[in-house]
Amino acid sequence: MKNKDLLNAINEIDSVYIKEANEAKFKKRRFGRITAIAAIASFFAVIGVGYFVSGIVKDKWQNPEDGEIRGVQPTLEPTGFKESNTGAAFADFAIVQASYPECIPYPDETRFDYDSSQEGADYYKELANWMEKRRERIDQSGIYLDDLYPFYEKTMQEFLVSGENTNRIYSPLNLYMALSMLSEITDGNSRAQVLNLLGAPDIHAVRESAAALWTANYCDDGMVTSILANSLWMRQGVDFIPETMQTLADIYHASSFQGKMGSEEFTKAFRSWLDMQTGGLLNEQAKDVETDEDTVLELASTIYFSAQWQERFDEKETREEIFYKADGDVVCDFMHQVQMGICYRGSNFSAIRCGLEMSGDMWLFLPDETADVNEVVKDSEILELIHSGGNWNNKIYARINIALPKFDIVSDFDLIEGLKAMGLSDIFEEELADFSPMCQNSDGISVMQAKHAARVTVDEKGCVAAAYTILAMNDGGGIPVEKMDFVLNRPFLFAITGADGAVLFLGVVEEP
Amino acid sequence: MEDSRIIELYWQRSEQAILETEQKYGNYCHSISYRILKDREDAKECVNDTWLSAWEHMPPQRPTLFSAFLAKITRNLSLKRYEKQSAKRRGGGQVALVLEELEDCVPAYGDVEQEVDLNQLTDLLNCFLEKLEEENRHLFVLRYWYLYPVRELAARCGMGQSKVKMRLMRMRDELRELLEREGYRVQ
Repeated sequence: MKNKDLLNAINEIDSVYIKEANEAKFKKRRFGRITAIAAIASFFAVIGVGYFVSGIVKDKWQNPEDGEIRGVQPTLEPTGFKESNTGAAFADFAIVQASYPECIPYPDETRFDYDSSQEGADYYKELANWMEKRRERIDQSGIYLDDLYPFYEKTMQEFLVSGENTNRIYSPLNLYMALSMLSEITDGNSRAQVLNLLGAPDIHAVRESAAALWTANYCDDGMVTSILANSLWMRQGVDFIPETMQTLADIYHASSFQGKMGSEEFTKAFRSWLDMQTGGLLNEQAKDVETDEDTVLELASTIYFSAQWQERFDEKETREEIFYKADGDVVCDFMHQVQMGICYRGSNFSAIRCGLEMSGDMWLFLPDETADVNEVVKDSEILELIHSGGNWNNKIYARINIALPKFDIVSDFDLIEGLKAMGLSDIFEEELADFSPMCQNSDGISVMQAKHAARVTVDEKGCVAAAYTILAMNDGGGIPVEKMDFVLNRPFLFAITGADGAVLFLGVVEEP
Repeated sequence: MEDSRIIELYWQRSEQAILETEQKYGNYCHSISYRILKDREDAKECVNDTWLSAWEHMPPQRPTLFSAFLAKITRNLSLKRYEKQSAKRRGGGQVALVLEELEDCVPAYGDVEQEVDLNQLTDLLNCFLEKLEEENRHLFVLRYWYLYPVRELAARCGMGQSKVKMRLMRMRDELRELLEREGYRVQ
């Protein structure tokens, strides 16, 4: 078959399509070119290990004298992060820089005269190459995604079900990455418990999965910004095991920083790194992060994700309406949009999926009026629907009048009780915890802090979300078209999925 | 004048039919031809040939959608003329671009060229178009049927050019997958 055959066949398409296209009135779009950022997610996880006995320092993982600063600067300057960079105080403490996979830049169309045949063809070649490479990266995680759902399920039940009428959000992917790194520095029963929670048979499976998820969800090419970053914050003078640290650098792209734990400079550097990697969204939360002189190692994991709605909400259509909270009403700005799309029905909720430009989706789950939002969270149908990718029996194709409140919500909570409830007990007990892969003389080390914070902001352009987790360890321590309204004016759930389908954020909005 | 009345004039063999057609659809057909040929005189000739062709086809035909019936004739004639002139012409409007884009979907497999039943292919295209969302369908038809330049299409749709191109590219990918599934040989 030749392209001309297709061109000729196109000539004979149904006359209705020809007539309709000629008469088509397109939706008004006030914004021309979509620029780039709409949904932003960032996370950090930190693991600190305290160690009283200073070992003999070896290799690059050790710093011979407290207070000495090494100056290998990481090249972590993701697009869009510069304004949030609080001075890059962390750079002075860097000893290893993370290497990030090269992303082919999104082709700059201004370089091409599209109405020239040759340049038009060149542009498409570049665009096709970009698409192909991006697709290759996204496809990396494909075989691992199914295995994540039990983890999503457990953590969702643990962290989103609440008797309090407060907003709650967390990042499953960030938590997964943080715990994956935790598995690298633990052994014995401690590691077994982490692997069990992650749903991985062994450490190799964790590595493969984490590496694939990292590759699939890392993108900084001028069109899509989805940046994951990990780091190690190490106390000077500690005899870290080089192989483990190297694995964290190789598999998890972890940068390494070394300094005096508990010092103002090192704490400031740590906050600075977190603040930068979360795009400044969790600036207030990062201010509370401390390094402790008893801490031996902190593991930090972040993700910053940005995208825009595929179909932006018109600001002119935004108006004040009432949101019916569980404990009273509140007036807030509701965005409105009419979409031809699919509405999914669960046993006690309805759901729609809003596409994010060149990225994943934002799923919105509206509990039935008779259902409590916690009931819906407990219902595994939420994740089943996301997992199905929309291949769902109970759905209708409809003209949907969406009313979505603008919101900016933050969650900041301690993970310890939740992690314990999910079977991670040994790492919190200094007698039971096994951190032998991390450093020599690891007796008495345990996780003393595990925190997670998240932030999601939704507006007409898209959504902005951020979250962090802190784990600190110290020693001693076919379808008919219908019309329907989808009005999210009572507590609802949302999920943000990445380009590969991995769940980046899950949240409950009790009050926009 | 109502389309049905114009068609009736054709059936009565009244030359008034051509005058009425030209008055109502002259600009429409000319724009279709001009996008292909990029030459006003050539486009004008193609449009005149369209009226003659319509005269020859009615009767016996009685088109349901008269505008699309005429547009198809114009497009066909214009593409044929384009093909004849392409050896002499450089650039040549949107046809070369569209052919380049469609190359993504349908190059021959190996050295053996596949015999194509245009009717079957058209049926498949209709199925493909039916499943597209309305707005995307319009975009596809405006680009590959009407041969709208992307710049013009973007302006008409109120989208950025990159978004239009991306949507078109996704649709071409979907079409290629469909053609592959249906046994068309695709590189």
